Amino acid sequence: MPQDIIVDHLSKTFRIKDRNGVKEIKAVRSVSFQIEGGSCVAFIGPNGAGKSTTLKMLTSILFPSGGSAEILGMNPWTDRAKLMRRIGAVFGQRSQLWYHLPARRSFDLIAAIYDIPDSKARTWTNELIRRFDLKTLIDKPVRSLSLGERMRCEIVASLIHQPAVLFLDEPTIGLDVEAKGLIRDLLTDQIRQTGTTVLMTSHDTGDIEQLCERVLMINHGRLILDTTVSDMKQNYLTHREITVTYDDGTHRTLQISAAQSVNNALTKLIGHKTIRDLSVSNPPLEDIIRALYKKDKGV
Amino acid sequence: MAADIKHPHLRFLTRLYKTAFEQTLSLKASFILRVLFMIVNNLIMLIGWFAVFGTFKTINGWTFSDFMFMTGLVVTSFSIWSIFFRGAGIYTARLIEYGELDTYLLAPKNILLHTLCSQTDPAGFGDLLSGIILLTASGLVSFGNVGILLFCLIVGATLFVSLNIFLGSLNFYTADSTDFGERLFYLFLNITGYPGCIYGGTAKLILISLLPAGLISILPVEQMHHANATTLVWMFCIAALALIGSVLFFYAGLKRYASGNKIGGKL
Repeated sequence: MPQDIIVDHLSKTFRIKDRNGVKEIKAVRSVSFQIEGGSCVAFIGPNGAGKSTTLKMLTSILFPSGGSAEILGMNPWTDRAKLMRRIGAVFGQRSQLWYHLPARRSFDLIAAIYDIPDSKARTWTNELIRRFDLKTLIDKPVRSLSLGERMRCEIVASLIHQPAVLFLDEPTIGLDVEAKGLIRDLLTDQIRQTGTTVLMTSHDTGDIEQLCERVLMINHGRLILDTTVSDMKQNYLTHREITVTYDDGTHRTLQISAAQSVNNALTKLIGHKTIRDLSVSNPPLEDIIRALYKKDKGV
Repeated sequence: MAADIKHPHLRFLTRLYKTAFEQTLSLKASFILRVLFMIVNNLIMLIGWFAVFGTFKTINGWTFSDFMFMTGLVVTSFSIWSIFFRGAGIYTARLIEYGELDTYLLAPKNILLHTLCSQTDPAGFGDLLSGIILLTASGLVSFGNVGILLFCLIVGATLFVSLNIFLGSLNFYTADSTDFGERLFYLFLNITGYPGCIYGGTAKLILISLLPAGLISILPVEQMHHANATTLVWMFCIAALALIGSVLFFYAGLKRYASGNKIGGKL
């Protein structure tokens, strides 16, 4: 598969003026990675790590201070208009919908922005409305939609021109558990059906586990990890938990380090009682990510 | 219908205006109130000057009819900016200030044109209505000089749009200059509210060149009475320079755009 996104030593420095003069803030420091066409990659890191800045450079919103990038073989800063026709973006904190109008009006305008003929736009938009279950929402003013409903409309708005690459910046931010689950399911189906390449930032490990096969982790502007989700769980596992349920109905849990053998732990747990049930569980992805952020704190 | 237009740019602009007008009209009560308020506002302003001209008949050769024409021209030019290019000015300034230009940068269209045409002000319709009434009532417009009137309206609207592009773009260079830009704009607007005949000598020279409010409030009345090719060319050149300068200023500033993370929507 071709590499849809190629990032080579990308850097961004902001110059901030304050009372003491001009201060330089290095938001992104020489970040490099490649993303294969059709894959879904999570771009994670703590607040202020440089995720959104990187995404904004790749979507030509910001000019880089150094390095280069290619999206679908195009330079984001010199081929902006051409590239924008091939990529889509959802910034969870931004809206491309007109607040006082029904989302349908915004969809019509977006079709004109991308020069999509009306008949073609209508067919595809109706298909997206069906897939994202927007039929009852599409004619209500956006201001009257819930955050989850609005986010579904935002995602449809970014898919009207059938982008080959989709950038999602915290698409589930502020949503409740049900809305998050729905958005994830819809995105999973969409990605599977269209083969769109996705680069997504999120603080929600549920998004990462369900949607992405690979993780890029950034901290202090540097890329500190580039691995698959399953490898991250395996290689960066710090501990495991063994829980046993005894015949008398009591439970006991023992935490062992990832390197430690389960045999030794079991010997301790068995004792003089009979075990009815046993489970070995890995810590949630969130704990692994937290440990990695913590480990990198000193950088 | 926008759906019938084949040319992509024209189709985009038509649909953009349609969406912006629909958004404005979706708040009907607010729309009607603002239109009516603007008509009343313009008429009240005229009443004061009616009293002045009632006492003095002429001021430096200008009659009340000339003043009505001037006000009509200012108000109509202003309404063209207000209805069709309201995105220039405070709206752009706020987009830059809060890092909300992102949505426009993600669209494969000319960013300046997209921003300018994406807003409309209901009060502009009140201005347009009162402007047309004033121009007609002034008695200065005839078949012979309607071309001059249209030319002056284009120059006036170009100056209002250019000034607003310039002032809106200031935020690229200095943080939070939205209020400053707004005050400068109203200073310019105030100058155009007085009869052009009160300015002479150096003041007039400044007002038809460096601070070209006189291209809206002084020269058009003169041209409606006695058209002069040199003056018309001068007006065209100043308006063109203002537009080119403001567009270059915007794009130079765009390279300094820093985005942001404010939570918001397209209002």
